[in-house]
Amino acid sequence: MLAATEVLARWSQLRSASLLSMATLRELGQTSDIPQQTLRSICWKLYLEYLPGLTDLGVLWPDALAKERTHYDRLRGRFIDEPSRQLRPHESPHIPTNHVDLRVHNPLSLANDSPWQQYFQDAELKQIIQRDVVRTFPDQPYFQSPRVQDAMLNILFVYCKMHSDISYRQGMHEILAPLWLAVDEDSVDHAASAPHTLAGDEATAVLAALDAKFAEHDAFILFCRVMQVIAPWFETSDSPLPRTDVARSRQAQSPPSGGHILRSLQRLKVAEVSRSAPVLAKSHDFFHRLLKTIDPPLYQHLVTLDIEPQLYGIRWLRLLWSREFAFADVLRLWDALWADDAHLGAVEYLCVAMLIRIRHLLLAGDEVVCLQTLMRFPGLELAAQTRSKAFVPPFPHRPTLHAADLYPIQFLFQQALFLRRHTTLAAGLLVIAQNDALLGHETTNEPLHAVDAEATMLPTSRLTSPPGRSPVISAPVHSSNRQSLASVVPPVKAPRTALPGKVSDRPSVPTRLKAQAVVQLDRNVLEPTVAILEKCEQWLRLASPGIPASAAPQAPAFSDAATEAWSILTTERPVAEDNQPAITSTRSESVPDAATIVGLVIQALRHTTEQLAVGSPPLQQQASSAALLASRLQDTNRQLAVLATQAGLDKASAAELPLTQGITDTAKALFSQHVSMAQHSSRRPADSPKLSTSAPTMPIEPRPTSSPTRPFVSRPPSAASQRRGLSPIRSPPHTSSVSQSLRPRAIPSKVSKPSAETHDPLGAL
Amino acid sequence: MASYAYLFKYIIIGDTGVGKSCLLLQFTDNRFQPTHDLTIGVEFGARIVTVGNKRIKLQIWDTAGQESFRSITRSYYRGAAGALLVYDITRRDTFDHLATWLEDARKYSNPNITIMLIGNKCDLAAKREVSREEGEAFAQENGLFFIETSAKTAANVEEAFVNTAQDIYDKIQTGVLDVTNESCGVKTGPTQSGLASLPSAATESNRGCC
Repeated sequence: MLAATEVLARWSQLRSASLLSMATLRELGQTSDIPQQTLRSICWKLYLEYLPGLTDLGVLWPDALAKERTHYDRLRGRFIDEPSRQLRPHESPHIPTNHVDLRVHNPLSLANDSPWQQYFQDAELKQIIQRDVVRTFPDQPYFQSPRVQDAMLNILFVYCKMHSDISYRQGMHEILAPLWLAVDEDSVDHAASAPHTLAGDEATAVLAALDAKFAEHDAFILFCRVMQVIAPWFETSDSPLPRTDVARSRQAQSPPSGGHILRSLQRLKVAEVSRSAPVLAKSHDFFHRLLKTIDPPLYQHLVTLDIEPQLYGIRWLRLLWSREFAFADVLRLWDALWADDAHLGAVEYLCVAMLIRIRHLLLAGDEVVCLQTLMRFPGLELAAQTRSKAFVPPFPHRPTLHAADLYPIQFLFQQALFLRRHTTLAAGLLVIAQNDALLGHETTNEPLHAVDAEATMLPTSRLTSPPGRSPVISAPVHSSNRQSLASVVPPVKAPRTALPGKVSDRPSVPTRLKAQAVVQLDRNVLEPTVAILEKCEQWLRLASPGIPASAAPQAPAFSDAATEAWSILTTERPVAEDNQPAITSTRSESVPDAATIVGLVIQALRHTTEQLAVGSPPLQQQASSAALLASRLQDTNRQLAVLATQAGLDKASAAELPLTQGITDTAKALFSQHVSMAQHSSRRPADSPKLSTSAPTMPIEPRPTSSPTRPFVSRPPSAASQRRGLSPIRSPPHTSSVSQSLRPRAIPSKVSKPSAETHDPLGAL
Repeated sequence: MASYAYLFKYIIIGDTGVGKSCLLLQFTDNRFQPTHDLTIGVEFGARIVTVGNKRIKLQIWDTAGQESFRSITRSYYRGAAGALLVYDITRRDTFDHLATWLEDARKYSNPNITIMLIGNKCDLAAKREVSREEGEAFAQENGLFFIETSAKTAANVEEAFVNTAQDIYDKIQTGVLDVTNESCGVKTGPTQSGLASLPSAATESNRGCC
């Protein structure tokens, strides 16, 4: 409960931060603590489209408020007040006492139209709801107060009466609780009679929107908005999987073998999903479609362990993660979820981002470790523990925004949005690289020593209470309290220093040995790929500063190339006949593949360069971009040559080198082509600035051979590279030592191009 | 440390609020929470026990009480070697619903599943609505093991899990369960050392708690 003056002060803060623009307010909801610091109630009502935007609010808000609140009054009257009035017909002014039919109006009546029949049914429903409401966030004293529990019971009861098909399902109360809190915390007593310091209608409208008298109404309305999207996830299907299917699938999966499992699962899932509950379909979708596309090795690993996505997906989806994070982080996540899209279009991508965040734990874990990790998501804690070491690449589409500017939960959400914009393998690789940096995974020559269940303090049982939940009613976090990601502990979150539980489920020795072999293999392939992909993104950003993210043409070609590279990687060495993981492949086999990848990526860059050159940005910039890219291509080519030379140490390098030579030629040709294009074009329009090819007007980063800022680490040159006069062998500085593991055994199907971005508040800025 | 002779899969079923999650928490963490978050979907726990001188890993699925969970995932019933069927001795309705739960368990699990009927909250003697004899009778009629427990005081909690494991272990020894068939809910562990030792009774004590 706030005082009117406090509300108006916060409103003016919100007003000036958002500049009264919904786009800005949506961005603030994802990247700042503004909702927490000002009026979360207003923000959520706007995001969830209860309040109709920020223009003309003095006029439009009162109408919207009145309409929706009256609606709730009617529903409440119909489902709560009226039935109880009917039980006392003699008190009704409309029915003469002698007209009361006692055959119907008596508690023992069995007549269908007896109000008492309804009364007993309702009482039962209320009892079911109440039993859960009293268990709402048991560690938050706020939710133990009778005032709060009564309001929640009323809201849930009315909702269930409205939707008698689903009625009450466990978990709905945990969706309502944070919504109620947001409304209740910012509500104003006696809003109508409050003194106004802001002039006129606007202040009146703001105070009316926060009127404590209508807190129950408003929480109900927000609850309905959210449930509109997630209600299907509470449905259950009563048609279980026929037993024969189960038996057959078990038969097919024994003994365990990757290919068989996958095939039988796929056979099963088609029939299964079509008749299953929507929450299963949603889980199925983020796992079997999205994760499979974005992170095939992780997908394959979980499929092999036969861990079904709905095991953890049900709780993630139904509760919108209200159990998975500390309470303050849940509120922050919901800020971002609503701000991004009232229809919660990021949900399945957040599931994927979460899986990728803990992929190093999952890939190193057996079934038990994986289940425990998934059932108790440790992703934010991991980041908090190692944050001081973290270097985080900037957001691909917002060069000025860094992970360090965000709370960990917000960064995770941004990764989800990135995966929504680019549902590709390349994007997955980037997110993995971001996580490696964030989690402080150092490049090391020792394979897989870091993944250790003990080190991550996984509890034996996830049933332990979430100690990270901070008190729910906390003072607003002021910006002075706001710590950067470089600090050790997140601002409003209790550190999980002493996780209870013991570790009894370390990966067994054979599992570890196997994982080591796989990591050694894949690091050779993935490390250069990730490093180069990352560099490419950086160059592209450098090269096209004026192009809005949504219009950037490079992403499709770029990720297609990476996808293609992946396919080549996975097809060239087919799975062994016994379907065992291909863990015996050696370094010498994989390095030429890395060279192939680089070649493909450079091809993608070439396309991009062409697109830039014919695009709409000013000519001068095009030419500079082209020049920059072309010079960078040569630089990349040098990296490539080094890789090829490395390969040559194990295997004859002759086969690889023509490829690199070819790329050098391509780069040179591109360079001169673009330069001549630029010269040619610059002669035509009179007002075009003269372009000097030797000194492009756009600042081009100097390219010294040993710049300290260069992200590649020098090592002594190999004999082969010296012979050919190549630059020293370099290796990427921060690629993963542990996160890349199981080599994919299935060839990923051609990844679809990123869909056109429909809603991208960040990119639009 | 991580080695074990066998892995048994359990499920815990029963009405909402009877204390399924609390039983599991007591068993895996030796803790009790008066108000526990209610289970959404499924929770998971694991612990190693010793039965017949063998280390046996119990992998336990704790299910939501409200959910007709068989429609949610195959993983629960599929391959469960043991089922703990729980009711609350202070709530008659949870006892009345046992037949439905049992029917599900019989229908969707393997025929050799060991089922332990558990009357929980036996520390609340004053509020008792279901007598011990009724529980015993139901168990006998349906061929179940029976025990009364208190997740709060930990009385008989260990026994409930271990006795179930003992029966499953006996079934393996007598060849009723085939450890190579994963749908039985039993797997051999990563190490098979100590196979030579003979089976012997586990921590047997059927002390009543109430």
